[in-house]
Amino acid sequence: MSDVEAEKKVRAFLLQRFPDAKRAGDDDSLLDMGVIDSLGILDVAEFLSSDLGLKVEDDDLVPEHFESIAALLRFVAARRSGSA
Amino acid sequence: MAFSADVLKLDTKREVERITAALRKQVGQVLRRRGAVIALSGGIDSSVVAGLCARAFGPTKCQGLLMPERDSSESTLALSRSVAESFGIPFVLEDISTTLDAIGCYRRRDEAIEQVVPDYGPGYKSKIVLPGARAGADYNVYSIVVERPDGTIEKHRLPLEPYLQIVAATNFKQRVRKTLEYYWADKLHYVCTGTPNRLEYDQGFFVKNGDGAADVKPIAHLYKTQVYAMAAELGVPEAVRSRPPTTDTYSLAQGQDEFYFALPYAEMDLCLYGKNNGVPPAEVAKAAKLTTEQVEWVYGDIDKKRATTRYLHERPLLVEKPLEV
Repeated sequence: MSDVEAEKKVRAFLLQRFPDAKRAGDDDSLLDMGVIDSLGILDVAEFLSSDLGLKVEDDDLVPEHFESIAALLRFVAARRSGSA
Repeated sequence: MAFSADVLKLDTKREVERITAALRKQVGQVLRRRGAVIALSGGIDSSVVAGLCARAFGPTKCQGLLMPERDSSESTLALSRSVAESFGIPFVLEDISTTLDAIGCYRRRDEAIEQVVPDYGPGYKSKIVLPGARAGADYNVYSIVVERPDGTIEKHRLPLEPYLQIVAATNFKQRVRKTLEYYWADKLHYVCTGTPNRLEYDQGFFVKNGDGAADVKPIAHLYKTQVYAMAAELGVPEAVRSRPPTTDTYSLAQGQDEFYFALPYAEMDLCLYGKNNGVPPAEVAKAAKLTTEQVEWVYGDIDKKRATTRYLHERPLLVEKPLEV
């Protein structure tokens, strides 16, 4: 899967699972906007694991990786390239 | 004047009068029932509600229910019995373990735990926990703590599906209890009482259609600190007043603050009061012996929990409200 395809998959998942994500810009805080809550974070983590094959450790569950769409895409790209 | 725990001080005699007057009016005139059923857990909240109902209606117009199950702590039964006896309230023992077994509560819970701890089985104990304010965690993600028969303890983050199944299964406990409470309420033509304090009511610390279901909730406006003050006023047994708040739901001992609230109740009360009354976090921090950052974190956590538990407070949503009802 190419990076572009992975990004497409992430965006499609967010919109399908959290319809309010369409209100959010890439840098908006998904938690502050009420798009996603702690359970939603777990949902995203499981998607990354099951659909993209990425291992998400407890220490990965931080705003740096999950706060916004842009943060999530950076995390996915870095993890796929093996740099995070 | 500096912000302090004094803001939670209460004229308990007057508050007892106010609540019992409200109860008499609500039950006798509005709901038109003859008395009250109180599920006694051995905890402070149900004990205070029992004391208030005994004052409001007289003890013989109250029905206490003792409903332990397999995971209840050993002290639960003796404490709840002592409360009924001290207020002169008639009570019945309804052990719900068999019902929970038949409905699959324990099996469904254990199957979910096995997804995370494959060797989980008989003799193991467990509870689920949150990181809490002192950990300063960014997200409220639950972990499961398992104690093996040999005493070793493990902690694992709970993935979404097993977490939801554990909660769904353990919620049977509150819902089976409420089913029995309504059996007794219907049989005696009484109301069913709910026992949330303000922290629990505000933060959604209850099971919808379980302990959240009730006809009256007489202490939902009182901070937990104030509930303790009311307990002293009403003469709740000392053993109950000195027992740390517990969920008494999981087989491992579990404080309410590690299961749900970010802090122990005294500090949590100050944070909730401060937030509700626009007190700056720095002032609350001094009074609660926390850092300003911790109080800011708790203020944010209060908002998050209000948002995520709003569903629990909602009545069933209708497409169109029949105007005749």
